Amino acid sequence: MTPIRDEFDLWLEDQAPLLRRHWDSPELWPRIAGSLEIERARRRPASSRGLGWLAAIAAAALMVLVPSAWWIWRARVQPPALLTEQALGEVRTAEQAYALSIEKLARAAGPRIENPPTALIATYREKLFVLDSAIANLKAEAERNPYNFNIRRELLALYQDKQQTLKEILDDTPASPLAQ
Amino acid sequence: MNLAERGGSPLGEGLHTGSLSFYERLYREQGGRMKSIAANLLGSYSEAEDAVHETFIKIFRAGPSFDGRCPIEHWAMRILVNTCHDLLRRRRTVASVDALVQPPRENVTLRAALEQSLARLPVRQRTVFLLFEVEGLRHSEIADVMEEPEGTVRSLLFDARKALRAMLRPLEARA
Repeated sequence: MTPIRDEFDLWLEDQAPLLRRHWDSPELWPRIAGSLEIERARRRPASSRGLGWLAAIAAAALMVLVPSAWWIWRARVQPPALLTEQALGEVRTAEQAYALSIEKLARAAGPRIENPPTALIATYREKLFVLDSAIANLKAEAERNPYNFNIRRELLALYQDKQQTLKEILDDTPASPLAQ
Repeated sequence: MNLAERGGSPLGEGLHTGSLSFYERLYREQGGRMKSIAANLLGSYSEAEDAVHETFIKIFRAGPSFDGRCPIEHWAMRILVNTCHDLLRRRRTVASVDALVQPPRENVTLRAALEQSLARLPVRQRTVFLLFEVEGLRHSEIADVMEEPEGTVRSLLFDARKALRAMLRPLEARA
């Protein structure tokens, strides 16, 4: 049985496809590819270690640089969405929680960061430098524009990334495919 | 013509080997659609890109366990949709971004009102509506993506249209 469609249904059918979004994301594929290379390096069995780790490190470096530059760029070009006083308080609480967690993780990961036991951790150390620099920049921006939602969100994303990176440093065992 | 064929040729082998060329092709063929679905679900281009990025990592990690019971494209969309739903759940508990979505006002165009009304639908209704009406997937494909019976998909779509009608009818009458 064919359903009866009225004017509204026809209007909806006409308008809905216009909601399809198209935009360029030149940084997205390199970012994905970098992450996948890291994943591949983790998955690869120890027996197949070889020159492949060089490619993985190159990709990891790419992964480090592209997202950081992209985050900073994105936070600056997006039109500002403003936070309410209450939302700002929530965001600040979340930032403080991240800062505490990061401090604990950084203390635990300190020796491995100082003397990286594997090439992958050396790459992570580079990533931490880039993240720290990006966080410092965004914190300065956030102080100037405390209610800017985009900057706050990017800052939280960077904290999240730093937290994850520190966890990965702690989780990465010497049996890692990239271990030398 | 199915979802895989509409996005290009079927992807076939490559998922289990984890070759980068497979993922590049998946991105080339489905990335645009994935971004669009995520942007409409999350209401943000930047978060949509984050969701697509996360989806590809999840696909890579879950690749070896893919059982082939549905086309890879449907499975990839399922991971994307679940990733977006997770992000929406997390967002509700962290910051009330939903508060940024305002109810339809009288002075906005009907098209803008449609976008705003869509954002107010329950997430499963919104997902089905977006996949069917915006992205042009079939009921059976959406059933695959959402792991729901086809009847449920039809019912969710009906409810979504009904809710949109209720929200937009007063504005339509004034237009």
